Amino acid sequence: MDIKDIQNLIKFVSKSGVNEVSLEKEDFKITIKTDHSSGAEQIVVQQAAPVVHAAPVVQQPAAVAAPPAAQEAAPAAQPAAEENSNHITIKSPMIGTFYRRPAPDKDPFINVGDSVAQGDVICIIEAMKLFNEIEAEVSGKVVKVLVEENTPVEYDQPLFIIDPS
Amino acid sequence: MSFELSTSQIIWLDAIDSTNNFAANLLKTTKPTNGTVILTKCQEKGRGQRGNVWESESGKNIICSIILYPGIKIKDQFKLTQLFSIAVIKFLEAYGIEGKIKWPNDVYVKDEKIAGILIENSLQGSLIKSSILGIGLNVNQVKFASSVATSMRNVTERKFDLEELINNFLNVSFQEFNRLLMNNDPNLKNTYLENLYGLNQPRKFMDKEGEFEGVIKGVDAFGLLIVEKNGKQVQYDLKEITFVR
Repeated sequence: MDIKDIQNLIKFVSKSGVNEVSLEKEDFKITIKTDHSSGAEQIVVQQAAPVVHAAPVVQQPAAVAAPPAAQEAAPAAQPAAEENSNHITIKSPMIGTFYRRPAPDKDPFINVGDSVAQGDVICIIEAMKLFNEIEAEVSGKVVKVLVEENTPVEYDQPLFIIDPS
Repeated sequence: MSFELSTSQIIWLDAIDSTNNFAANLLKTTKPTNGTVILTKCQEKGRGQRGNVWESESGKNIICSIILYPGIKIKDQFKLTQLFSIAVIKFLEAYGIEGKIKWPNDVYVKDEKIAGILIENSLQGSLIKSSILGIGLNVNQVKFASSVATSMRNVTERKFDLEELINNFLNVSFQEFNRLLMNNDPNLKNTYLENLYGLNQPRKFMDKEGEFEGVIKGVDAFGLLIVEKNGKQVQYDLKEITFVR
């Protein structure tokens, strides 16, 4: 469900005169409460709990910015990502040491501004001398590299920001 | 699906930069079968960890990479290290050589290195999509640039038939790979520990607080080394501890 659908849904619920609508899909749940006396809507958006071991975890930033009609109350909506909402964050699937280069004397797999295709190797994460190639799950342009060469990373730590457009 | 050497594709190369590199290219360009073995007499740019070089005289040692689709989760990846190092230990045992696994993945005889393992995975979701298990195992080489390297010949003062050894090594390895099909194999962890270099022996280490005398007590599921320090068990990642000679 994208932001337009949500906006349309809110409009629809406001006009309909009902007090509360809940909609649940596979990975998504939205509840819209209206208080017609004050004219304010409450919107609760829940994204599925992070999948414990889906990795590389590619998540659309949960930019569920409250539409103008509901500025007062959007309590459970996640804070809008500071980055462009279309950008995708590639996160670490594991704990380990992050390497941007295939070998110390080689160029980095990707740099800011580079285009990557789905399946391209973008970094290596090492744990206990096991070297793991991480592939891009989306195609796009590299906006940011968030981790320094040869530093430890945690599970789920953001590594790269990719602009898929 | 099991891991069968008899049905594996075996690729013999006269010379190659690195068998792991060759395996990686094979995975990128074709769909090699599970258990594909790449062997060479002469590895020109053998790699160890991150820019380290693995030196091997032509035609004297086992230089080999095996491509597996291990079908295990990322969090279980240390199993690959465990079973491949156990394979080396069992292989050496058959020739009367007592090897020990120097945590996490080198194989030593006494205080000298006889084999090095380099495992490179490609991930997909929460799974290991493919794995390249590379090994350099010193057989008939006598002289080494490094003072802490040895070979089967140096240990036993015997010369070995390399082809026969390669065949035996692959047989033992494929037997071990089938442990991957077992969900919970207590023998894997136990066998790894039983053969761990320095287990339960007091020795000197260095951590961020300085040098200390400690005792290796084990390795956890993730592969962290458990060392007893001042009566407490402390878990160490690779870069957090060094063995002091």
